[in-house]
Amino acid sequence: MRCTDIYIHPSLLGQGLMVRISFDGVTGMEYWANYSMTAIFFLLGLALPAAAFTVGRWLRPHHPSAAKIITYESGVDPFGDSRVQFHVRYYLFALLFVIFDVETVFLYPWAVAYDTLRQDVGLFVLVEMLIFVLFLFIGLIYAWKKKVLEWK
Amino acid sequence: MLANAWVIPLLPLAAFVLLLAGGRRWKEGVAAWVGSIAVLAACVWSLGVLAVVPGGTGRKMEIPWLSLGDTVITMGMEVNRLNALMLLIVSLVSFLVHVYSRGYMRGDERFSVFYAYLALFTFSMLGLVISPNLLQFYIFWELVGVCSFLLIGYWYYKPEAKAAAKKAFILTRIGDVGLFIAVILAFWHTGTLEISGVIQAVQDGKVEAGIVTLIALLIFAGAVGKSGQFPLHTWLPDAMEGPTPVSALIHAATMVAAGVYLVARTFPLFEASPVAMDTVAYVGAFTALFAASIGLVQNDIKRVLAYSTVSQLGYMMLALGSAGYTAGVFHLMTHAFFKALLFLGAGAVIVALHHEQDIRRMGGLWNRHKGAGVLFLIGCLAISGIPPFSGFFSKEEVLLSAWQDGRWGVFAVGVLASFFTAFYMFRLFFLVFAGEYRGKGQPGPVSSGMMWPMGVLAALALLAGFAEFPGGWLSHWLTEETGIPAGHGSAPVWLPLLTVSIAAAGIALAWGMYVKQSVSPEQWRARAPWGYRVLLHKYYVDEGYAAVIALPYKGLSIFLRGFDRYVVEGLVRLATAAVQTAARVSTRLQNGQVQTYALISVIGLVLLMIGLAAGRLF
Amino acid sequence: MEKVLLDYDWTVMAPEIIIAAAAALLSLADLFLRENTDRRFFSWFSLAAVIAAIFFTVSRFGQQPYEILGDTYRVDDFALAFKTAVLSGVGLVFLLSAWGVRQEEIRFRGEYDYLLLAAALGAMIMTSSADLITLFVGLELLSISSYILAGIHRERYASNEAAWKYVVQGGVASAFILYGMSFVYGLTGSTNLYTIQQRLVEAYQTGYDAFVLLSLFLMLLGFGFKIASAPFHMWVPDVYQGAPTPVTSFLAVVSKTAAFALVLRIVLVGYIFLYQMQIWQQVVEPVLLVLAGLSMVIGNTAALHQTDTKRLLAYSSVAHAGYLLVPLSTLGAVLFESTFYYLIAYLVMTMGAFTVAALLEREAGHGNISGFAGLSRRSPGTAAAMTVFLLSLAGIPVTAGFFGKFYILMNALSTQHFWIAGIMVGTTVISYYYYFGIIRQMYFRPPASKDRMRVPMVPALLLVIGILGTVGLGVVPEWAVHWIGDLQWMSALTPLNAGPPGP
Repeated sequence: MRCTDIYIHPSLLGQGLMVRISFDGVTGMEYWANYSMTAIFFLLGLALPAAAFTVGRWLRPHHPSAAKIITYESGVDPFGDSRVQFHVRYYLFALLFVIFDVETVFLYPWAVAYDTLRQDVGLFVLVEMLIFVLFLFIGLIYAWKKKVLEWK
Repeated sequence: MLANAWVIPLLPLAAFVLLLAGGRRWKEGVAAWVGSIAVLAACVWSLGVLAVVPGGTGRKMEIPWLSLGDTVITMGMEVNRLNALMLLIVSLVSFLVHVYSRGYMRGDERFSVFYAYLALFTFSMLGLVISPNLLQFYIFWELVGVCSFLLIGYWYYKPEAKAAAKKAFILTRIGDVGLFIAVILAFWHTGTLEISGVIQAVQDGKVEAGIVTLIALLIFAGAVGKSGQFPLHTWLPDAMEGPTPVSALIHAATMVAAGVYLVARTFPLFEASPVAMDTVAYVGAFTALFAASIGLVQNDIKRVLAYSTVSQLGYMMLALGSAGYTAGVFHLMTHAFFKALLFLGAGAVIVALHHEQDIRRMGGLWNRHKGAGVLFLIGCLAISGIPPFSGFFSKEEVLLSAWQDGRWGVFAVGVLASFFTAFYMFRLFFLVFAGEYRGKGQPGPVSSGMMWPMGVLAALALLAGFAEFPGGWLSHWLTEETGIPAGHGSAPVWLPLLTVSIAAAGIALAWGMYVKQSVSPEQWRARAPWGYRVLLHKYYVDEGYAAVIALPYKGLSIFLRGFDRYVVEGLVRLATAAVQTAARVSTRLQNGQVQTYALISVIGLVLLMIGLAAGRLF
Repeated sequence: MEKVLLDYDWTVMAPEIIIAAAAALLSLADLFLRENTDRRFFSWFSLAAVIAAIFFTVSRFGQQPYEILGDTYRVDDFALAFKTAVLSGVGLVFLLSAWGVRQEEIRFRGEYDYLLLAAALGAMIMTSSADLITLFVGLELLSISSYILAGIHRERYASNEAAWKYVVQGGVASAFILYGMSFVYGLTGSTNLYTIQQRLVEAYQTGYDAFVLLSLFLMLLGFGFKIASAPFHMWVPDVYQGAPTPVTSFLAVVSKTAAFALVLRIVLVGYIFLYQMQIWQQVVEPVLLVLAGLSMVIGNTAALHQTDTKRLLAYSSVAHAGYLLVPLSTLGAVLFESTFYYLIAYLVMTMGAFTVAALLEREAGHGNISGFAGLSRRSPGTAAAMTVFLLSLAGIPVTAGFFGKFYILMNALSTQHFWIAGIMVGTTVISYYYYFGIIRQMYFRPPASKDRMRVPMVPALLLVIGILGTVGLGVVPEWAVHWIGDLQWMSALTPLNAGPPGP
């Protein structure tokens, strides 16, 4: 695979670089060859936990007791009735968390690239982000007024 | 006046809107006045137009209505001499019927609705007459069909009326399909919908002869449906279930003549195709005789007139088919007057006899209703072709055109049909007006509002013939600058003698049978050969007719009915069943499960892609 | 030199900004107003915002195409025309909501209005995006708002069910669209439609033809869902029936119009080269025509068995989607004109029909067709109006629906697609049966109660608008056709600063 042309979409700089790889005279077979990287990652993904468990098996001492062999995950028994009832507030908090998480993910590269962007598009980059934050802020007010933030 | 002739149809339309809005709140008188005045105004305007309309292509005015690519469909009007004459006939008869209906429909619950329908019909018919292009013509053509449907079924609580309305609508639709295909074909091959444009293209030889014939025949199919020609004639007698003024206006004078008008309007198309001309002539002649022979034995006063209408329309077609353009139009005009007169007279009789329509229970009305009797007699004389009544001149023109076109058979059939006509008309007249009253109770009065429209029509029936005789003024006026031959010159001397004596023979026979009763059926059976018996004795004529003409026809109809029931209806059932099954399947799939929905979408996509892959492979 | 903020003509985005601001304002107002305050004025406020947006949209007609936001947002005649249609539809929906959505029935009266605005914003973005990402964002904004709107009647099971089904099916559809788009991106390395236009050809010619077609068909599944065409229509009846009637009318009119804008834009800009290479005729056209034919057949036949008005209209909407697909598949000379004319016609007649449905639903307390019984005696005006709308939906002459169908039929015939024209005519005849079924109910069935039905001002106004539109478009189609024909439709297909479009 030969990369002959790297294309950067200027409008999307804030969201990371978009790289276009154009293929010079590649055939269908070579297209499939592009997936070889995916395949390697897939195999690696399989091999890594397998290796970790195997190596652990070799290294650790083996003295099982009733308390030690139960599976657990962050202090919660993962087995049980599939219809586990969580409090609905969990979901609301989870949603809020995701929203602000995304905000951070978006803000961070923006902050890093701020100077470059400033030169390109001017003050608009700031206005753009302010609009985004404003709408998120309205969302926060919404959550607040709808009493999502209170645990009752 | 001429430039604004498009206003003429709008007057009754305005009346229709007013009547619809005023609705049942208005008294009968108000509704009748609104309708009558609007139509009278249209009539006066038409008269003005008639006076000034130039010859040739007349006056045309159009506005673009719709553009499809390069083709512009227009709406507008075209007034030439034929149209102007039709405008006057339609608005005049319509006006008289409007006035007459005031008396006839008195006390009807939906009086204003009736007037609204009449106004709508008048609008549609006038619109049809001045249509410059085939599409507009077709729209109005359908609209008059709808009005006819509404008016036949006006007494919708009578099951026969409902059935008749449906039958009329469906049977004429059969012809309409033909007309519609003709419109499309004409558009396809000439690139225009303008009637004049199509004619021009045909005359310039831009269209293949076969296509011209096809278009002409399909147009004729539309005319056959509308004008009750054989074999689509059966709706017209049934249409008599409608109120009598409607029969007079729609099913005698105007709408049924629309078929004839259509052929006349597109006459150059027919002229360009000998096959089409033959077809028109033969179908017309056959219908003329066929319907007249049925008319001989009917006992319902309106049905006799209905068959007579079919027969007379056959005459007009016969004339057109024999290149007798002016003869056909002339007969159309005179027939509109005398047949409307006869229907209105019949209506008067029906009102006087408290809605009795069986002529066997009438009789002796001459003494009580001399006025109506005289007017009815004028109508009968006119239709039978007795000089100097208008029917004599027009019928003679019709027969003359058949004779000079060299169609001996058609001519003979026409003469025979004219004998029948005279006989059944006077049979009707004598049974109704002569002898003793055979019904129950006492005949009632007839209002003067019903009488004077008949008077006007009678005057026209008496005088309309002189538009052509002597000197051929009408045919000259009609054909001036149109390129259609005006007439056939003078008639041979023996022709009027023949027609008059034939008519007189018919009348005499009727008189002998129903007044003097010198021709007793039993004596005749003993004395005369069997052919006479069959023809003259009305009971045996029925059976003789059944044996000679109707039996093969009946056989055919049984076959056709079987075909219709098992093949056509089967196909129809199959189609409905298929639709129903499709409906059931798609409703069944709609089971409310989202999984199924998504599955169907995905299966759909997969099938499409498989089809696609398969399509690409082959 | 790169452009800076003030170099851009921001007025081109005025309609979007107005709608977004109105939505933001309303959502804040809703939060800070007391709970029992009547929020009906929200609808009027939104209507005012929509009218202002329409004003700014219409005032831009006839100007050169303009791109903004890094060439992701494009304002051309195509976008403006569809935006006008979408906004007019939304305006009518707000009018209907001002009367038809009551706080005592729907607790979140305020949310209803600003979600509708958000959905409208999504629809507007869909009409004028020039980039797959903005297109998708618009689509999702519209879809997610619609999901909530469908379920906004929280106390009704039908409404809940509708929302749930809609969200699941909509999610599936979005996934397919995204999958298709990812193939496009993989093949061209760009999300800009006009860049895609150039590079997709190269990709096609260099051996990726199957992937190009695959991307199209994957997206078609999603688009089929959005425009409610068979066999991706299964959600339609359930959702239309369950959603509150104004929302249903929104889905039927606005959602469909915006989706058609999206489909036309993506398919025509991205894949038009297939037509020049004769591949369209062999591959894409049959598929689209099959979808169209299937929609007509299924929509019109399944409607025969329906007893619920909104469900019946849902199937009718499927059928109309079928008619609308015909010009796209045959790519006749008047593709844009006939599609857009039909969409406008569909907008006025469907809004009218849904107004009557909403009136009767309120009056009778149920949505069954039997509610129409004897309407001619209880409210002759409403019955007459409904008759006009039904005749138009059925495509009877001198109504908007007739000319819409006539155009499409002409389009099909002029491109020699006789079989689809046949199906169209045949299924139209079938459709008479159920449309006339309602007319029969109105005129020949005895009414359930003898009282006259009162028609309040607002729905009466809607009916008048509907009739004026339906009859006006039918009697003088020339005006609308002229206006539509004068628009620079083809400018939608070419990048900025490019020569005239190819053959």
